[in-house]
Amino acid sequence: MTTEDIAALEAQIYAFVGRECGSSTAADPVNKAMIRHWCEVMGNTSPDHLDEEAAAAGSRGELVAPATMLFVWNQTGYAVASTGRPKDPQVELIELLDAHGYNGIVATDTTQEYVRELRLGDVISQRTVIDNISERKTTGLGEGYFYETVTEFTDQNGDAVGRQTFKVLKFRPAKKDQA
Amino acid sequence: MTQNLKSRDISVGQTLPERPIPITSSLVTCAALATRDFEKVHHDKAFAQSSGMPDVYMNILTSQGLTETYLRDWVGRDAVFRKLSVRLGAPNIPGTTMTLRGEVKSVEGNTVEVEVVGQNDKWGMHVKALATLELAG
Repeated sequence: MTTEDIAALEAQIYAFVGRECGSSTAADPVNKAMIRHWCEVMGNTSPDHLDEEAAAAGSRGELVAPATMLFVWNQTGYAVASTGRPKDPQVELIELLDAHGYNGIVATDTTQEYVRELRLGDVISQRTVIDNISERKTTGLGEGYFYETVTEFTDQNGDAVGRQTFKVLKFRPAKKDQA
Repeated sequence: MTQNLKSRDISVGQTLPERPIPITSSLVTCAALATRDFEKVHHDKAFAQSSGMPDVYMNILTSQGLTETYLRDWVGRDAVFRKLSVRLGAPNIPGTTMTLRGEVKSVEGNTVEVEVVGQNDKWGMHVKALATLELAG
């Protein structure tokens, strides 16, 4: 790519900063069945996730969801496999970079912060924005751009319950450059 | 799960018991579904291979969930998770083993920071996490 091509691409990609993508309200409220299914696979045996009676007698006084289920409640579901993710600005950003040879993708960092534990019946909404996109970087995988999304999670009253940052590297695979 | 740890039981540099986790196709796929992650790379081997990977590989929500469970078993049922930061590395591919190890990084009042590293025996560091836990007073 020439310097002009890179400048033109960067003008396009930086226009994605601040755009909203993938906002939703969960189809199911926080519920025992999904928590139990998650705990079965993870090997989590805490009675505060699995046994309402024991949880009521514990320090919380009620059953709560595991913390890292925060992102589970608003997942798109089987459509991701059957028909593909619905288009949103993040998908468009990825496709734009793909089209310019930056077709490698790898998640590098994610942080979740938990304002409070989620209780049965909580209805979680999430709002995600593309928060920042780095300058062009040279990495071990190849040249590329890091972009970071920020997701805010709220409950049925609009109160914050958690926050997630998620950083992705979109790169031009190094081998391809040499070929 | 152990009894609830108190801050007096915990010191900087203290290590958690190692936990080897065999990575199987069942774990990768069933955990992806339990976290409602239907990306094909986590359940369709042919698709994963077409994207350049040797097989299906573990999704991030599972790495987080296994880390949470490992910490929960150590700290006891009452502690509350405040934050979990995760640096992602090599993939978890079926036929390998990931060993989780943990080390206490700080203790301030009832707030404890623990680093957890998941080392894959064939591919190297899968995950490096820093968790902030609040112990029950």
